[in-house]
Amino acid sequence: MPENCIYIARSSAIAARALAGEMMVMNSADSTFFTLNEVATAIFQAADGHTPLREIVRDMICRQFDVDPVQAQADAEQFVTELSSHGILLVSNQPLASEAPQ
Amino acid sequence: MSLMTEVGQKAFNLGVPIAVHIDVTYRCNERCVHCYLDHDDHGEMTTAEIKDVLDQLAEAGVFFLTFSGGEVFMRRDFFELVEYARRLMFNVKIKTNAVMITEKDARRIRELDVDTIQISVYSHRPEVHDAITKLPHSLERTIKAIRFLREQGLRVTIANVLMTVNSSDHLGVQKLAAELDVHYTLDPTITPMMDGDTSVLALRIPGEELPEIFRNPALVASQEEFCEPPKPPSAEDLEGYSCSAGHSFCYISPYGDVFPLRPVSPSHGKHPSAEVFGYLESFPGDERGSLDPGQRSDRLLIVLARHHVHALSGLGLCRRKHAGPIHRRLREVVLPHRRADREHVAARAVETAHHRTPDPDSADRRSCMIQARPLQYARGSGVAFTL
Repeated sequence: MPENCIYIARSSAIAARALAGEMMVMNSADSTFFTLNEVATAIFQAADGHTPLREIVRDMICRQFDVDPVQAQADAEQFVTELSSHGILLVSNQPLASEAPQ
Repeated sequence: MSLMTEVGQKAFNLGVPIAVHIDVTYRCNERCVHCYLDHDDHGEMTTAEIKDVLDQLAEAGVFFLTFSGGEVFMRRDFFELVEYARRLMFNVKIKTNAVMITEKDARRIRELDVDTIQISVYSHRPEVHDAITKLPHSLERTIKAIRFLREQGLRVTIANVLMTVNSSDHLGVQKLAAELDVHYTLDPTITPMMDGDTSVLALRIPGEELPEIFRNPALVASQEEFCEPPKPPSAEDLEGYSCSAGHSFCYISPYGDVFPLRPVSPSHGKHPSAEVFGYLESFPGDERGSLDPGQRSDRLLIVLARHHVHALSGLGLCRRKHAGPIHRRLREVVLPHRRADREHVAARAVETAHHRTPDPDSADRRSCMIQARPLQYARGSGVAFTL
């Protein structure tokens, strides 16, 4: 899947809440509990289904954090793949209707 | 320290109410012999008011939300409330007797991604269970509902309140839980009724009989660990709070009042019944070092009178104010009344409830906790960002 075509959306099946800047996430299906650091939380919160991951990394992550864009993109793709495997994020090469509220 | 414990401690330190129990009604379709509630409606919050409370709770940082009662399904808007709560992304747990849950309802609960449904079962024998609930065929209907829920793949826990009239049935209920492929918990706590009537306390299993019940390996995974004397409190323990009540946990009544923990009626103290809304268990500072099991009855019961609870609660979420201040005032609540209630303490000794854990039921159950932390960068300023 070309990296510039990745769209991500939060699943409606999860529970999530920010605690001091870090996101707590739990998937009711398998009861896996995550905490996301500040960078991961920024990506998670930007997962609206219609902003490409590339834009999220370029416009949010690389502007806020001191990181090489190529490295950030690779890390972000690894991150969304992992959360996708747990049903936390939906990933597609087409825009997605976000299931969860903003 | 597990991730869940770590998060609970963080919420505790920040004063974030990470777990809240809300009773949406005190009305019920059962009339359990041991129940402490008044089942009349004295002005329950409306749908809009509860939604407003949920908005406030989400804003305050609540993650674990338990809907209970009374019987939650007595409210015709209950699914609307759960749906609203899930849209706010709470982790939702429901406590119910399940009598009213149909196959369609079970499907709806699944669609709403409710985490857990806890269901009261008193006996595996209909004649015993129905005599306690005073609702004919209630066990039959409850079991039927449990099957509907399990067919949907939902997590179900049977909560078995144990008292004199069903004291010999807990093994049968455990077997039933195994057959239904659901979790099982046992609770021997019987509390006075909210109007101060203490007659229900006669249903308590005497404290001296409880150890025998809890020798059951099915209840206690590691008896050695369970019976191990608690470690001496650390300096941090002595300086800090001993309980999450009012700090990272609170209770909300159907009328919108907020309490540091679920209120009980007060047979314990010198305060008039109508004046006492809740209690805390604590230890006097100079005795904290002597908490071996043989001295558990030396615990203090700190009774919270109406005006103290109001001081804690910020006067309630719905009707008046946000409950933010509750965690700030808790240490100022001092109504020490030295009264050892041995039966009460014996019961509480096996109930780890809310102490410093956001959701103990879940914390025990969830074995797969992952910290997704591949993204660790310095802030743009060049200052290292650490977790």
